[in-house]
Amino acid sequence: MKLSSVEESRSFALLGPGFGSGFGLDKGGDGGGGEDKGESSSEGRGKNDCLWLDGLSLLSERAHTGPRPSNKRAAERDPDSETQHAGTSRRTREQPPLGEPEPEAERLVTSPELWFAPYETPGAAARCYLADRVERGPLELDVAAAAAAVVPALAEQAFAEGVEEIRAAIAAGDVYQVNLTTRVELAAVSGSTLGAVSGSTLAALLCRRGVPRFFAWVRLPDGHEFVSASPELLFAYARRRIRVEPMKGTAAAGHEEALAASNKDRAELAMITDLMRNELTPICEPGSVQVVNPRRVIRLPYAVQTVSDIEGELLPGIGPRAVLAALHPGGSVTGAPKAAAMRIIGALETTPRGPYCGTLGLCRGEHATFSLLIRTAARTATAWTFGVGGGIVWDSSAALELEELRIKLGALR
Amino acid sequence: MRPVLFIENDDSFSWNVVECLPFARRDIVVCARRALDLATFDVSHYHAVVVGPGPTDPVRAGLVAVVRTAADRGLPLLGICLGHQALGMAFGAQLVRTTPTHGKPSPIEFHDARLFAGLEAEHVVMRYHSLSLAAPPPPLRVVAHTHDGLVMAIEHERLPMAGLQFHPDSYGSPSGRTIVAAFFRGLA
Repeated sequence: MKLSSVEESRSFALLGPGFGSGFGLDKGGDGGGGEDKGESSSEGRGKNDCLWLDGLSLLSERAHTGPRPSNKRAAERDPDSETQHAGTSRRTREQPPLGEPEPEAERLVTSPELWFAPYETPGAAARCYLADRVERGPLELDVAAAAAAVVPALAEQAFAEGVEEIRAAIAAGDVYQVNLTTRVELAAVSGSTLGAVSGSTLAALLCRRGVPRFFAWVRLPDGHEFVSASPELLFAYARRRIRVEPMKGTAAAGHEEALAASNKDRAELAMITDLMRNELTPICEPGSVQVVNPRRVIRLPYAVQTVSDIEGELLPGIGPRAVLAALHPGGSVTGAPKAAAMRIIGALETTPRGPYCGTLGLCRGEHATFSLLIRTAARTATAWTFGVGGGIVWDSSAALELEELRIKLGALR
Repeated sequence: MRPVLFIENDDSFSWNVVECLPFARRDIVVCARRALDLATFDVSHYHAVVVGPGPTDPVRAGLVAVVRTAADRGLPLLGICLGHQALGMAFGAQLVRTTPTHGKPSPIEFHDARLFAGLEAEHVVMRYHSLSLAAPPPPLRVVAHTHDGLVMAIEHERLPMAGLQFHPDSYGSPSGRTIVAAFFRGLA
């Protein structure tokens, strides 16, 4: 599938390899291209394979209007790629009201569901979309990558003040860690002037060094659009086995030993590992939640980061909405304790996070994969804004946290 | 058996503590502190109370009053982190700021313990705290320290009440379940 074709569609989701192959349960350690150990699914697909869900509509509305006819371009699709016409197996019942457990029969659908919740939306109120048509194949980068400029520069002063306010709250015992973020505006550099960035040029930029594991370019029916180069899994489940993979700890690419030796980065991850155990426990069988790997390095083209792996056995009847209600927004983008950290974030951050730090998921039958939307740009009326942030702990310094933001902005180079 | 009451304080580790207790989930009643009315609190319903961890301090969290009520009415009590600090303050200990230590393990040693008997070896435990009890007076006794002298566990001299400053519930506290089980065994 071609980026230029995707751009022409009215509403769609273009999803990276982590969403499709093995539903993230293959423990692919890669967060993007340029990584040496590679990631290929058990089905032998290439690491740049993407899923294209074209023609999205809200599941609750679909029940009334029925499926739209397939996009005309479906007839011109690449004959080697795999296309499904999902209309025949689409469920026609209305979505159950919020908070009710999803009956087993509701989950036995074969067409994929796209789920999305911005940071500010409670997990129980996440929206679910169906597509007119689903295509899978290697992504063809037939659009020149934007040479993106960050304008204006990082709001360093405000961020540094936020770091110190958080450290004061930690000293008082009010919070243990807060993930503080900021947003920068992006513009395309053409010659000596700055112009508007299109979704496809931004997508091409973020995929230039390989399609990130949880790459996503999504344009919703209401016009909202975002592009994500996320390396982070919020959760994946296959039948009742669930896995979460919180990411905390960052160093510049090539500085793996320094990251491994950093007590500050180890503590950041340890806190969120315990937080995720806590959130999985009420939705899992007693005694089943286990830290299977306390710390593992993820190599990205612009950074090295660390994750932990935590698994559990879901209680019967737990579906995506109940898992989202328990886990969203992800602990790695809030801090701990979550309620106290989110109050501090609300007081310190001056703009909503929106899709950034939200979650995007693909569910199919008894499988689900949800990414945490970090390294994510959202289109606003006037520009694209790209979110960056980091976990602030007692050992944080404003200078080093700002350096971490610059490392993460490296996703745009 | 009567259930154990767990008092929750808006923390992100509360369910880890519940899971760490030596009881089945159906034998544990979880109650948010703000939902607990001490005036009508009937301790005869419970085997023991576990005062859980959380942010802020024991006074702001309303937990010192919980400890006094349990002590007056003879309910065994185990305090974890914030709950441990509440136990200390209820019996006259000072709470002081120390170097914030969150998500970091430390070796500790139990000594001369009555309720935490049989734990004399060194234990590596996960810590999540900015505040610490300083020199708890009698009837409290300090029964575990870090190597640099911070109070990590206290017991009441006579009452079945004890506190743990560290998090036995963390994946970074390998012997946490053993330590918690020792307290409940000591009650029997």
